[in-house]
Amino acid sequence: MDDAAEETIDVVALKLVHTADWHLGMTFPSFDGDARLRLSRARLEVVDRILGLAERHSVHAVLCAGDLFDDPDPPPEWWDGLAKKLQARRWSGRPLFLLPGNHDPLTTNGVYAESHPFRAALPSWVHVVDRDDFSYELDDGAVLYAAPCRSRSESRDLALTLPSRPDGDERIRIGMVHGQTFDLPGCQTNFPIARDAAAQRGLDYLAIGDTHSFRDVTPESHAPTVYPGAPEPTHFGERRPGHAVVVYFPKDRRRRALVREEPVAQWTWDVVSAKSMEELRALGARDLAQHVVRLVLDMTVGVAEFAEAERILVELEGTSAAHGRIGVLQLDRARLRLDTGDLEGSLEHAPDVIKAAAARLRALESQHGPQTEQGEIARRALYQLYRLTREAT
Amino acid sequence: MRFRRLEVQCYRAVDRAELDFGPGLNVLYGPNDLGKTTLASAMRAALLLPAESSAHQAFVAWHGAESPRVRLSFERHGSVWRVSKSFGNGSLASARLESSQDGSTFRDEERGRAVDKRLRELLSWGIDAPGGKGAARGLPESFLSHVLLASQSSVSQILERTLGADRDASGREQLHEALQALAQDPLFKRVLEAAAAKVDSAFTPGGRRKTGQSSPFAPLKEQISALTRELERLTHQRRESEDVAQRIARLGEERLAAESQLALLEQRVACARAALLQLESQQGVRERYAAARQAVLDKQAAQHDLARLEAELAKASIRADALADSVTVAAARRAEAEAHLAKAEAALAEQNTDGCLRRQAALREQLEQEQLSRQADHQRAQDLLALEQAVRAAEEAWRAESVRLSQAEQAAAEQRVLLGHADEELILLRNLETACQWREANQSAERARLAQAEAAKLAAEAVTLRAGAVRLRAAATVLARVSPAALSELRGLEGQVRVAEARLDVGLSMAVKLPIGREVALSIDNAPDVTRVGAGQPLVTQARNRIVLRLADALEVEATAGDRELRLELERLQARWSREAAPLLEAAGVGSIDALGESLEAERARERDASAALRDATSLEARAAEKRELGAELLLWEQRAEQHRQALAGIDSATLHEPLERLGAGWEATLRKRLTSAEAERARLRLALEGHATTLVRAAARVSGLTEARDAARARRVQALLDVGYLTAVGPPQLSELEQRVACAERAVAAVRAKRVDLDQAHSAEAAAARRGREQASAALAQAQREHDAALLSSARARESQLTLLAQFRERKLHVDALGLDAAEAAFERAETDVQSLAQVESMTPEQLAESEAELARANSQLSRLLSELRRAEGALGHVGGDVVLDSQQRTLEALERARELEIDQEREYDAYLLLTQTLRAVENEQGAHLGRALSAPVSERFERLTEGRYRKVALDAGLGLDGVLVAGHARGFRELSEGTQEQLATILRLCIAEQLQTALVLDDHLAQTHRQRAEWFRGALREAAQRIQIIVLTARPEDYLAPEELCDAEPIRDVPGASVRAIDLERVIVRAS
Repeated sequence: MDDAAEETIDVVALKLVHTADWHLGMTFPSFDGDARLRLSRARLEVVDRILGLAERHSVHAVLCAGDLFDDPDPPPEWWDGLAKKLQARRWSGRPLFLLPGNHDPLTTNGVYAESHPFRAALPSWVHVVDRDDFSYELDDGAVLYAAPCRSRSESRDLALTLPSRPDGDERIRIGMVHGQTFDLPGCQTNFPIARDAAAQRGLDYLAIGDTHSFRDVTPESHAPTVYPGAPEPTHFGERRPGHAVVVYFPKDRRRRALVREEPVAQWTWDVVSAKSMEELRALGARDLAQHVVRLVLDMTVGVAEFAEAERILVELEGTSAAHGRIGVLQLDRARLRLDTGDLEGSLEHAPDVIKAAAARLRALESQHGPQTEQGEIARRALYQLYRLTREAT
Repeated sequence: MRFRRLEVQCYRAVDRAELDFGPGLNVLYGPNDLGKTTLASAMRAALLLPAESSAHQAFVAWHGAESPRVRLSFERHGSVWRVSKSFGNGSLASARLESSQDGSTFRDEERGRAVDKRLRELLSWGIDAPGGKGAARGLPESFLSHVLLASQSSVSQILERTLGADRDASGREQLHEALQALAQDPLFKRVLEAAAAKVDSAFTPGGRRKTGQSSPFAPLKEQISALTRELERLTHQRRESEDVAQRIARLGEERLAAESQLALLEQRVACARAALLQLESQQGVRERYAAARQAVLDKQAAQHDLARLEAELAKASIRADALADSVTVAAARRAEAEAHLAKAEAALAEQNTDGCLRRQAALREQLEQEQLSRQADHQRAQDLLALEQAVRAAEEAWRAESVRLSQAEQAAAEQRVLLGHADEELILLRNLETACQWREANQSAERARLAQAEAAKLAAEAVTLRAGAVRLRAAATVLARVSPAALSELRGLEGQVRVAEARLDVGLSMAVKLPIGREVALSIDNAPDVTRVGAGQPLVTQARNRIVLRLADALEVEATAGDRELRLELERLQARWSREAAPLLEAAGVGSIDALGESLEAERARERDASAALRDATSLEARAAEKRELGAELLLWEQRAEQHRQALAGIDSATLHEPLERLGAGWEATLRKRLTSAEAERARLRLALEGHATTLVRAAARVSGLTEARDAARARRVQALLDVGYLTAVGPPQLSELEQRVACAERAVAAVRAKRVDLDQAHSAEAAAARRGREQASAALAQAQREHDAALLSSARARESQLTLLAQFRERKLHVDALGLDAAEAAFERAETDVQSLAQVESMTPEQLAESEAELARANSQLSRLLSELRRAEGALGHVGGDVVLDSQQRTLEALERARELEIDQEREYDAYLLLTQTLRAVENEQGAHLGRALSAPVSERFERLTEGRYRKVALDAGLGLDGVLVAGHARGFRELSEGTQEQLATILRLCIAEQLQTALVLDDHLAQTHRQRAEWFRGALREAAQRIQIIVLTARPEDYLAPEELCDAEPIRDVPGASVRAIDLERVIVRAS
């Protein structure tokens, strides 16, 4: 925290960590087996860093605003894993609240049900929002109101079900619901949240979850309504994911609560486009061990360069014997074009039969045209001939 | 391949022969001229010659007129085949091919002309199907037919023949396949193996992609399949979700309408209840008013009665004074009273008559009707007002939505124009692409035509050259096979013979005497002579070394000079001379080796010319083949050009001319780029247009709905206006007019109500007055009667009655005073004020209220039903997904697209390996360079062993033609070898090829020139090879192959135990024609 921030919140009445959208149990079918597992496991591993953040900042409470599981009835390893991580913390006086979201709604047989073994495994300081009129008196004159999702979709505004501020109530009032803050007509079936819900209900802070990117929905309002985003990204293209939020409530009630993003993600998801060998080589020099990279190869290379490109890609992706330089690599080679113009020179010392085969493949490529599928296959065959000859020499 | 049985009938000199072959070495022996070569010829004819070929004339039986017939059984590709042919012209010819799995039961495979086609396919010896264009007449030949089944006369030609002369590639392919493992360049082999391993892992032998679990495509296929199923499930769930969401939206709107209707009804019911309560409340006030009024009337009557009593009292006092004379007056008064009473009663009766009551009722009814009419007017005016407001609201909404629709339509129209431009651009680009392809195809077709013409020209030149070579070769004699070394050897032999002869030239003299004179044939030093010897006269003959005397058929005496060893040596040399040199000299028509050398030189010059011509012809043929290959694409290019032309049909070529000119070279990349860009732009515009279309559809739907709502409101308004007759020519009334009309109607209703009240009050007052008059008249009559009676009956007691009346008067007066008339009047005034202050209340009946309440209950029920349905729908939506299913669907879709991209990439990668493997094999097959290398090693190894290291390496070319032999570090042409060495080398080559092909080999007197020592080596080599392949040797020298004990004795066929050798004595197998 910088000095200005320190000055801004010189007298802090209450500190919270606000997080949401853990999506424990989420799968990543677009990735290969090993990467798929690593990305799934990361979703549980980030919980430790969120809890550590809460400890470092000595917050008074941790709000988990829904979609903590990807499914209302996740496999045991997920809820058991989460319970064990929570059990490992010896907290007292720092409650943690688990809010059912639209992905993991509160259902009769779901993970949040009273009878579910997950509930029995939770430490006493972990509270599940399992009532529509849930409220909890925090220390320091603050109170939390929350309402759970009970289905995957609903048109009710849960924020507006929270109680209004009674006259004379000077406490810090915090709301927590899960839903969407846009009011597009016809799209109000998924737990809509009115943008001025916090103001309507006299809240000092409305903690919400659903969107995977960090977003202060009401920067102009006295009462922030905030999406903390997913602590680990779930998809390429998400804006500012990978954070939890620390919220500082000043004692001076006239001042707005200060919201600070804190990075907690293990993985950074990037879409990288390499348009030349120079860019690809430069990528090989970067430290991307903790990056999930969709690498779009948009370039034309000669056979020698292609071989080098293949080598760099192997280095980036890794092998069964060695880790790659990129943590998780998803290759898009659709626009990688092989220019086989310099191939004959490389086969100068090859047997005549190989040279003749190369000439025939070249003719096939020319006959079909480089943009056709047959041309592409002939070009690939030409490259494989070059590669295998080189390996066999 | 392995031969099993041969049956021959009427074939040249052979009348009949049947023999079964053994699996290994078969030695078929017999003396010269027995028919050994005929059997080999019959086998070739059975396998290669069409039954109807005119070449069969060469096989026609020397004796008899029957057609030559051959039946040959052999094993091939795991089956036993049997070919039967009867050679002849036209219908006399027949052919039949049968197959069998067990070797005993045969079934027909082919008959007639199809037999040879099938046979040639089976053999794969490089002989094309019979009857094709340019097919050779007579017995077809190929490299392999020569190698495996050469005739006796063409054994040495094997070294000259190559695969290049084959008309069909099957022989080369068979050899290629067999020699592949031996043949390939190591580097090439590694490349091919690596590529083939990839192909084998991914493709079936038939070239289809593998689909099993082991297939590299399987994981992605399974993943795609699973993702597709998941996507379908999620899509279905999403559709359900969207349906439910739409239902919720619809139900929400219906709920809002129902709630609005409910609120209206509740308000109406509340108003009705309030009106009813108010009416009930006003009724009490009115009742209290009537009671107060009655009380005042009662009190006024009592007061009046008191005054009358007082007057009676006064009158009684007076009358008492004058009672006696006032009876008449009393009677008159009574009569007057009676008259009053009658009048009052008449008036009252008049009040109660039916006519009067009907008038009053009619008047009341008239007023009630008027009130109802006014109320109806009021209600209609209110309805009109409400309808007008609804119409205006609907029109406003319609106008606003219409504006939005118009804007959306304008935007869509603009988008369509842009899309049209994009379509035109795309069509132009595609036409340009087609035009370029057409132009290119035309150019390629022209090139192909030129190539065809050039190919034909080159082929003609090659034919000319080859014909020249053939002529040159035809002119060649057997001398062509004599190498310089052989010539040198012959010179040596000539010298040796001369030396041996000279060593025997020691001189010889012979004297002969005959008892009778006779002619004697003499040969003196091999010079024949005939002389006559006289009886008893001695004939003395002298020679250098040999004298032969022959006396007809009675005696032959030969005398030779020199010792025995020298003679034997000379005989051996002469025998060798006869075998090696004499035929050559005879063939050359010369008498000496020197002359033979000169002839040989001339032969070699012709051979060189022929070879050069052949090489040139081969080169031209290769070029022609290349050109033909190019020319073969003519049809393809023409078809493509035609396709492109068809595609361009109907397009104004002038529109394409200028863009085509601008494109120039590199049009493909330029067009592809522009096409990609145009397609992307078009896709973007189409997407945008679809968005506009969706907006348009929605806006149109909303406008349509609003139009319907507006029209419905207008219709209701028109109907309402028609109902009230308010529709004017200038259109519907203004809102202010309707409001005024409502106010007027309200006032009219109030006026009618006031009239009714007044009428009721007037009727009540009249009735009360009539009743009062009658009561007063009645009272007056009674009083008059009493006064009259008193006057008549009690005048005497008048004074006493006066006192009684006085007492009564006092008592009544006290009572009246006690009643409080002022208070009653005050109460009456208050009640009257209350009545006057009562508000005008709309008429309302309990029935009307009940009806409104029933309507309210129905609306409540409808709302409950809607809410219930809404809850169910929301519950369903909560169950089926909402955004959760959207998220999952999006993730699954991305994964599916990713997997499909990977699948395409993987398929192309493996297709590339397949193409690479096919290309490598095709090129290798065409070049065939390795074949020579492959076979060179085993041939060299055997040849080196045969010649005990004298010859090292045998070089074979790509067509398995003999390039040369390495001798003492120098390459030598095979013609430099002796004839015997050539035939030995040819035999080794044939043996090696047969071994590689694992097929039978027929050797027909193949080692005629071979020395016994090397023949011995061959016996071992053939017996060793016979462990692996079948070898059939036709020979006149069985001792070269069989030990004496292995020859046949009792039976014509003898299998040598443990040696895989079968001896067949052909003298006992072949029945020659007599």
